[in-house]
Amino acid sequence: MIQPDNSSAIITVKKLHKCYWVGSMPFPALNGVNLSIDRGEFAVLAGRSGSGKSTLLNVIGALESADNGEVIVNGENILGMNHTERTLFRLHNIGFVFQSYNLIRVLSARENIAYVCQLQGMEKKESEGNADHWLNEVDMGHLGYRRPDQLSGGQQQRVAVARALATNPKIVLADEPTANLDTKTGQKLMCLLQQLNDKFGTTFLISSHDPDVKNAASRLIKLADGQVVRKWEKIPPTTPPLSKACPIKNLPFTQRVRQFLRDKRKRSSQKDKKGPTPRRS
Amino acid sequence: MAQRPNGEMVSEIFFLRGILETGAPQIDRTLALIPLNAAQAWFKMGESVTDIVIRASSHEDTASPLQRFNQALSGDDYEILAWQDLDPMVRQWLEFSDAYGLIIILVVVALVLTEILNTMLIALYERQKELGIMIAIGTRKSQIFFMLLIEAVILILLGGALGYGVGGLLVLHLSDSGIDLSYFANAFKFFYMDPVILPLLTLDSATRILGTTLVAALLAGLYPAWRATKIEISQSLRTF
Ligand SMILES: Nc1ncnc2c1ncn2[C@@H]1O[C@H](COP(=O)(O)OP(=O)(O)OP(=O)(O)O)[C@@H](O)[C@H]1O
Ligand SMILES: [Mg+2]
Repeated sequence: MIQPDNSSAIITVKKLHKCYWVGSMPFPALNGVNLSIDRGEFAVLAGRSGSGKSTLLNVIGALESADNGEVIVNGENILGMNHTERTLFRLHNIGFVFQSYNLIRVLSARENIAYVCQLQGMEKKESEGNADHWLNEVDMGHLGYRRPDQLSGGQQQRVAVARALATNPKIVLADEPTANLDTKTGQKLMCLLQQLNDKFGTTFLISSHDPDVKNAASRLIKLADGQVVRKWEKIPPTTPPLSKACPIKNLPFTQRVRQFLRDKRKRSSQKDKKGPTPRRS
Repeated sequence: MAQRPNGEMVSEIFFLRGILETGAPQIDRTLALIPLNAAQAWFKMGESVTDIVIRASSHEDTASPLQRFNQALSGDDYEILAWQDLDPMVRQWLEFSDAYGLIIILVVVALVLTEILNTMLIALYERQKELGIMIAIGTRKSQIFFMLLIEAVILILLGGALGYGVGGLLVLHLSDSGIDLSYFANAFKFFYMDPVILPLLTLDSATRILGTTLVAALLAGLYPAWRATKIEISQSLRTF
C-alpha cells in the first residue's frame, strides 16, 4: 500500500495520461492530469463535452485503466491492480452514481440496494434492513418495492444514490447525475447529495455541466482537453453543514464564500452559547 | 397339403375361419394356422408336439431361463434356442432401433446446444449493460460466470420438466390406443411391424435423455458465461 503524500488527501492523481485507440487512430482523453481531493470534500469536475471528465472518473473509480501516471485513492495505487483487485476495491471503497441511473432493472429498488450489501458479505436479512434504512435516508422508503421502470427518473436517481452509499464507501463518484433530470429535480438531488456529504462525511466527486451542481461545490476543478485548467480553492474544512433546506444552493460560488464568512462571524459570536457542530468522517 | 413324419404326403380340407395379417406379406402368403389337435390327428402324432414356445416377461430376460433349460434338459435330444438365435433378423432390427435412438439423442443434444447457445448469446448481448453495471458495483467475474451457468441449467430444467410433463401426458393418453400409422401401412410391410405403435416412457430413458440434455446445457452455457466475464465495463457503461 502506498501512503499518499498528503494524509488528508483521499484522491491523488499525478501526471495521468490516457489515450483511446480506434484502430490505429489515437484519441487522447487525459493529458497529464494533476489533482488532489481531500477527505469529506464535495468536489465538482467541470469542462466542456469531450474534455475528459467521464474518463477521469472512470479511472479514479477503477473502472478503466490508464496509460501513464499515478492514481492513489484512499491510500491504494489503482493503476497497479489486476481485475479482481479492482472489483474488490470498487466494492469496498467507491459508490457510483451514473447519469442514466443504471439500476438493475429486474430487481426492485430495495433489492438493488440489498444486492450490493450482499456482495459485501452481509446476510440477506441484514442487507434488507440496511436497504430500508438507506431508502428512508433518500426519502424513498415508501417505494422500495417498485422496479426501476416503475419509478420516475428523479426517484431512480435517489435509489441509485442510496445504493452508492449503502456500502459505506469512502468516495462517491457521480458522472453528470442531474443531466437526465429536470432543473427542479436536479436541484433536489444535489441538495440530497450535500446533506449526505454533511451527515456522513463521504467524499463526493461529481462531474457536471449543470450550474447548480457547480455552485454546490466545495471545490471546483475545470478540465479542458484532458488537463486541469483551473481549480477553485476549496472552502476551509470547517465548512458549516448546509441546512436541510439548502438555502444557499442557488448562489454563485463567490457569493457563497461571502455568505460563509458572514455566517462564520455570526457563529463565532454565538460560540459561547453553543458547542461546535459534531461531524463524522 | 402336408407331409407326415414318416414321409407320407397327405391332404385335407379345412374351413377358413378368418384371415390373420402379420403385417408381412411374405409370411401371410405362405402361412396357415390350424388347431393343435387337428394338426396332431392329421399328422398322426398322437399327443406329441414338435415345438414349445416359452415367453419371458421381457424380451431382454432370456439369458437365465435359457441357461436353466439347457441345464435341466442337457443330454436329451432337444434344441433350445433364444429368440435372438432363432431369428437373427429380429435382433438386427432391435440393434438398428437402438442405434436409431442414439442418433435421435445426438440430434436432441445438438439442438439443445445450439438453442441454449443462441438464447444465451442473444440474452448476453441484451444484458451487456446490466452485467456491466453488476461488475461496476462490485460483482466478481466468477460470480457472473456461475450466475449465467446456473441460469442455463434452470432454463433446461424448466424446459425439461415442461417437456416431460407434456410428453408423459401424451404417452398416458396413447398407451391404450397407440399411434395408428396404418395410413403408412405399405412402409411397414417390409418391417414385420404392427402399424399401431404403443408409446412407452421408462424411467431409464427419461433419466438418460434428461441427463444428456443437462450436460449439453452446461456445455452450451459455458461459452456465454465465459464471454460475460470478458465484458468491458467502461464500454457497456459508456453513457455512465
Ligand atoms: N471508447 C472510446 N474510444 C475512443 N475515444 C473515446 C472513447 N471514450 C471517450 N473517448 C474520447 O475521449 C475524450 C474524453 O471523453 P469523455 O467521455 O471523458 O468526455 P466528457 O468530458 O465526459 O464529455 P461529456 O461531457 O460529453 O460527457 C473525448 O474526446 C472522447 O471522444
Ligand atoms: Mg461524460
